[in-house]
Amino acid sequence: MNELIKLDNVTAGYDNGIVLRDVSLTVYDRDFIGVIGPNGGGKTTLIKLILGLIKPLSGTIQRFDNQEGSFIGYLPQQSQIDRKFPITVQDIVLSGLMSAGKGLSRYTSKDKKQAFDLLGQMGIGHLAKRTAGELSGGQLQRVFICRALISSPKLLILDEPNTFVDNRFEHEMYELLQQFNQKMAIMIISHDVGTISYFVKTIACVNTYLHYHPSNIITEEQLAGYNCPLQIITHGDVPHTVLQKHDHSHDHDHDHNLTHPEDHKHE
Amino acid sequence: MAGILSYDFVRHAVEAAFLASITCGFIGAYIVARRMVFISGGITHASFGGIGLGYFLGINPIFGAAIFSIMSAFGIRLVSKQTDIREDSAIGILWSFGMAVGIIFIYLTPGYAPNLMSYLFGSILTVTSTDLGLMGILATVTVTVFMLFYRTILFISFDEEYARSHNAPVETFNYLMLTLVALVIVINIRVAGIILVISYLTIPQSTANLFVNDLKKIIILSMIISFAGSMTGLFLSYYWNIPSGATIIFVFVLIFMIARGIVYLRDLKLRKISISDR
Repeated sequence: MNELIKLDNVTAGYDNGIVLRDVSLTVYDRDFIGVIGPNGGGKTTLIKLILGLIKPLSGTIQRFDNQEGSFIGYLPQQSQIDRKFPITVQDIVLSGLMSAGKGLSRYTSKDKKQAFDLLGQMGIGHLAKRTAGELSGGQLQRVFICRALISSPKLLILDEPNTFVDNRFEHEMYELLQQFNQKMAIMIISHDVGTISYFVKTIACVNTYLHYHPSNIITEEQLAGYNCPLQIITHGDVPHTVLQKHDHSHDHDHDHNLTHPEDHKHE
Repeated sequence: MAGILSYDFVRHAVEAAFLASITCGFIGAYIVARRMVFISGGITHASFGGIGLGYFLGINPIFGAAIFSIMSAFGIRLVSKQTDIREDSAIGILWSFGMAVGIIFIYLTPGYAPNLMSYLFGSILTVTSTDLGLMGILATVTVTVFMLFYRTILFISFDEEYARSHNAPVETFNYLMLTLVALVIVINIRVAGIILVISYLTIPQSTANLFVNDLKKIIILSMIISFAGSMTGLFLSYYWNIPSGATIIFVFVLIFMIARGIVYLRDLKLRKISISDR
């Protein structure tokens, strides 16, 4: 398997403190990693490091980027988007082809056709000429997925993709992601840990430290070992996990994790 | 109407309105789309400091204004990025500081400050051929920048962080555009004045935005509205013998209100149709 991204002992943070400490993670071709963890635990910081939006304070990040166009496709959280901005859907998708050298060259009819085809695959081809403000949250989400995919990236990163999406499309989206996974690695950040653990291959729990779990099934004992604030709940065949309030100090005192596991168990 | 065109100052006014419509069409659409109206107001007023300095040193006040507006634009960006001062506070500080500096310099300048009122309220009827030359150069630069980099400007404006993740030169473009914003403001101070120039940058664009929702179309439609409004205002001010700048703005707002009314009636009609469909 080819390595795509390699983080080695990375520590990162902002003016007000360290957010990630000693994080090591290698993303391989066709990985499907669910990134879970509490709010403020550093999930988004991890993504920003991988995207090159922030620099690590220490440690190294290697990108094995040998393709033209963008190597990473990225679906940001929708809350950072100005939905009243005057831009057409087709232009949003084409912006996924933007790169440092592309400032002067025009978009070809092939680029436009590709944008239109992708929108068609997502079932929103008829919205190509509409503007962002006219779309529902779920429709806009599909547009952003098209933008992330148009450069045929090796790695697709999705930050909280299910925030604005209706239930019907959510299921559809995960099935699409599994198809994309035939061709590219995927990292998905989610609060809805239960659902993603069903689709992903491996799990990374981020809470200042990163604990990588090389399978999509985590037992309570393992979570306790990772010092990760999660609890397993099972609905029928689908393993579910939920977040539990948790002090992630690095004292390796896990006892309080398991104090009231019954509270979180559904029958 | 044809008769008044034989006067030089009227021809100059028409040319100035035309060039102002072009530069403000592009830059105003950019400002409105990026929600930069307040920072533009700050840049406009801060440039008054440069006008005062120009009088004091005996150079063309427009050059002083250009330096002050670019410095205040960059200053607002840097201060709000590098320090914990918030952007709108930084704008408020530089806005009033520039005005204060301008007043002090004009007070210190011996004798009467000619054309001071024209810088405050604009004077499209006294635009000189030098002004027109500068406006023409700036219009050429603006058109060129947008023709070459339209998509880069659009994509960075829409989602800066995404552009950054694609290694697009976000900072370079932000400062390039900020420079253009500052220069367009300063050049059009001759036409509309410090107090009214923001109208050229926001009212036609907001009017266009009622009908079209794509940056490119907003640019084109706002240019048309801007020129038509300027001509109507110019004619009315001539006819009624009232100040041209204020009349043009009045016409802009009138067009906006009529447009808003049309949109309201159209939506009402659409809603009725969709109800009767059910």
